Amino acid sequence: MKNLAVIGKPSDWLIASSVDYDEAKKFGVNIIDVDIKELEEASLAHIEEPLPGDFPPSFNKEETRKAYQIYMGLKDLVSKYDLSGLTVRCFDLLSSLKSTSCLGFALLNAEGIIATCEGDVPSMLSMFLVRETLNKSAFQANPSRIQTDTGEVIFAHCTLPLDMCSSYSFMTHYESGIGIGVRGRLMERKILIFRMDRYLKRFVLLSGDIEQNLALENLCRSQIQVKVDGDVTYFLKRPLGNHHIIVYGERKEAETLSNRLKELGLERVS
Amino acid sequence: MKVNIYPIVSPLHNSEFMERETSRLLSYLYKRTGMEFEEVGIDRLYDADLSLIMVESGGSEGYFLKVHDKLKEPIILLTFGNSNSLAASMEILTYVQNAGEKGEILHGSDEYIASRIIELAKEGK
Repeated sequence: MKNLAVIGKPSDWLIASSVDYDEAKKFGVNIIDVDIKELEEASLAHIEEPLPGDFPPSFNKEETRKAYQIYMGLKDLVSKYDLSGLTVRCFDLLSSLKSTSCLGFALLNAEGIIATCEGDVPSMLSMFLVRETLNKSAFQANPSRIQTDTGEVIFAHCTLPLDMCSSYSFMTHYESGIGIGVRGRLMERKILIFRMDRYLKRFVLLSGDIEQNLALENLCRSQIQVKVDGDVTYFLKRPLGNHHIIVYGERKEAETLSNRLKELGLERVS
Repeated sequence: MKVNIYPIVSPLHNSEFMERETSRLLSYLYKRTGMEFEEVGIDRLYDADLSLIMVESGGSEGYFLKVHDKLKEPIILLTFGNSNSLAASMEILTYVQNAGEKGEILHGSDEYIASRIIELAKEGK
């Protein structure tokens, strides 16, 4: 069994995403709850931590330092609880630490430690299965705009694994205007769009092409426009939740992931 | 025909921007459909030919839960393309359908939303 942690509880707005931890054991994981105070205290202990030299130098150094402290705090918890992944009620950090965990998640995911936002357990488990099955990093994103006539969907979030990016820069986090949000540029490649439902019984697995990276106002900082293969009405008629997991992949990877999920007893709904 | 709208929004988002966005969309819908649109409190939501929940931003799902027991099926979620409104609507619709209730997200181009509102009003939703 591998350990995954829910640090703080799931965010209040995730009303369709609570998960039975016992049901998740079929994926070979043990989910543990960790008080978010542990993360806050672990982060504050790294006040003197020097910044890596390869971060974009143009962004506010003090904000970068605070966000990097959170990354180091997360690393401490990964070590303490022997974690393969985690999810954090990250908006609580806006008030307690006056910063964000977006940078920490971007770094951890690139290192192969699953890190998802908002205490979203289905997202954490979906990304874990992608990592276990395909050995790839994945981008947890909000579907933000859909054009049903063209099949184009814009996905956005304020963090993504740095190893998925061709380049990246730091901005403030979108909703709060503080801390660090990561604007990463993804490669214009074929992708898979995946998530499981909260009951861990059904999944959606779509394919598509990243057409372009965007920089629109009033959306989270990393943004891609995707041409989805086939019908996009799933998102508007029978979604399995909000966050979706995006991974570079083609037909072969789709079959591998789909077969693995079916072996685990899940039903593909789209 | 009359369309009543109950807005839900998270305080995390820019209220001035939301008001501008809402005003722009409702103005377009009025011109395109000829229907009267009014933002109302939850107690007046169903005093109309069509009743919509307007999800103005991400993080508003908890506000939906507060009024859920006052809503009638199908629950129709009018959704913007900004401020994670669509993301919130998807979480809400999933919740509604997990509860065995019917619902729909109204999202897309202004023209698509207007034409779907005309259809729904004719169906008496």
